Amino acid sequence: MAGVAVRGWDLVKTYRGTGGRPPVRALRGVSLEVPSGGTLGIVGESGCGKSTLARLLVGLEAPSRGGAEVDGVPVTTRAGDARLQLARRIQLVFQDPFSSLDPRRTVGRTLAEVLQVHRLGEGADGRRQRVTELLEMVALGTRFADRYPHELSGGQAQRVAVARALAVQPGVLVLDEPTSALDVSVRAELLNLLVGMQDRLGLAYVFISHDVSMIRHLSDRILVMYLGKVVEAGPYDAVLDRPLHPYTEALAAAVPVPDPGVDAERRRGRSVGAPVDLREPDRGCPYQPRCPLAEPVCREVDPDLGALPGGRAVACHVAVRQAGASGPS
Amino acid sequence: MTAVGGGLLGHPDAAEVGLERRRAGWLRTLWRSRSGRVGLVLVGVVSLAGILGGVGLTPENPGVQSSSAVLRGPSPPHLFGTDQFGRDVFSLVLQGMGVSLEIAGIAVAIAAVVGTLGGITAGLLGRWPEALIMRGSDIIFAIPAILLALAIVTSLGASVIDSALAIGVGYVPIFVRVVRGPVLALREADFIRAGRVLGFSRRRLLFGHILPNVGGAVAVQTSLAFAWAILAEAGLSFLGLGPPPPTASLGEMVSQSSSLAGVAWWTLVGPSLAIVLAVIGFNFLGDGLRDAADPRSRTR
Repeated sequence: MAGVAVRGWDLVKTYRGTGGRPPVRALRGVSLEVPSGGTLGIVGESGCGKSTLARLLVGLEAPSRGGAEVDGVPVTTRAGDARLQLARRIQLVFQDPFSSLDPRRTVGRTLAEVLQVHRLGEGADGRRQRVTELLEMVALGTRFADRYPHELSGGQAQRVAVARALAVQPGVLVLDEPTSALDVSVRAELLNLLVGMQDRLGLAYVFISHDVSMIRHLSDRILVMYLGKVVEAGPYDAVLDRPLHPYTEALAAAVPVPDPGVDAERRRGRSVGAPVDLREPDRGCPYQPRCPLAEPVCREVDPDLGALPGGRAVACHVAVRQAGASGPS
Repeated sequence: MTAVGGGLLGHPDAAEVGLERRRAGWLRTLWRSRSGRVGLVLVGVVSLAGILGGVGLTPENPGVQSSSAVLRGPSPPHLFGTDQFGRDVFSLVLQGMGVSLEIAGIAVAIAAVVGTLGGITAGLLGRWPEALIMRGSDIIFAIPAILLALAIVTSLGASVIDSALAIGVGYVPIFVRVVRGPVLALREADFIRAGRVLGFSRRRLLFGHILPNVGGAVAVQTSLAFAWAILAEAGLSFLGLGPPPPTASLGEMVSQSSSLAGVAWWTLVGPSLAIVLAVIGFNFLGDGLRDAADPRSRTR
């Protein structure tokens, strides 16, 4: 049995509403597991709580309820030694590579600072050596050490951000939409780099994206999130090929297929509908206002995430009933 | 290059090797912009004049009166002419510039230090400290700065330190605002978050990442504050609220010579020109710094 790198249970995050507005429930009870060296993909539209989840996992924010651990060590938001230890287990790569780099520091100084804080590399020479290694690991040359962030392309800056995260040799990398700020042409490069590093370094990834196709090459399992809840979970291929939840179905249908006929066929009659108010309905299934299959029960009872055969799970009254009717496969 | 030294004076990166090269680049960029160049030259001239006057290295002793050389026009021995007591106006201007710069310097130092600390505190802590600092600076802001200075000088007295305090207080809210804005933005910046995820200490994030990123704005504002302080000081001493007689600042000279303007215009031109050059110089320097402070403008 492979070890579990990241475990999160019943993660809830509620933000106080400002100016008399009701509180925002960004996460409403998310549990997850990431095996060592494996990848968990997390998909969902903006506002579904993906980024909040990322921040809870790396200890940038404390959950309102529930908890998480990395390699069995609890995630903490408190500064100090425990924080340093946690930092060497799990790291985060942000969406916007430019805002995640200090504009006043060269790439070399940015990387060297991490090494210095964590006392990695012996002396200035040792650190310089290690900075070179890190830059080479993300396929950038030593000459990039003297560059400022504004002198880099988006793809290069994101590689630097990856190199900085890997400087502390973590076992887990949380990637929060790492490709969505990049040009389409360099996305594949970064993805290939990430795949290669996973093989070489045995990293576990939590890969967050709003685009299911982006995580195809990386993910073993995916979680589909909607308004702070996991609505479907399972092996990537099974979930995308035979979606159970109507929301997953809509996401899967949105993936373009390089065949106009097939694409048109698949899109026919399927519409996700306009995004609704992100404050969820008072009761019932959060997806119900947009759901083509909604039944009376959906307006009353919020479905739990029910386990199904094949390592799958879905939070949908209709899908669970249909799966039950077709019998265990 | 990428070397990181062992930390001088507790500052995380004071011993950084890259620092020298960056400083040089920063000055070079300043020099390359027209306003930066004009500002640097004028501020250089004005500062040199102030220093010479301050240490007493003037062509003639500005205190020495000469009944044989009263109200002479500008000529080689007396570049700016002489006043009604036969004193060399040029030497007086140098001395006055020294006094003006001293008062302005102390005033700006007070405003910059207090205002920057206030702005950082407000931006980082939020909640009630922020409310307190911001409302406090609103109150100061609501009173015209020159009136505030007048009120303080009349209640405290008019020594060099009191004048500086009076002028500095009015400028504190501007520093508070200039610093708080960027700090608020930086607090939420991804690179600060990345630092937290990497386990950086608060001290490192504050001194190594937040402060350097507001440093440019502070430098710009410091230069503009200098211009304002020189003008405010001149205004105060023009009204007779400057430091008492033996230390004559530029404003006082303008005030004393304005009655002579009809007979001896040069006694007015000397000090006025000095004030104008200083104010323009610091304003241009501020503009130049604004451009140079942005690392993106630094193409190598």
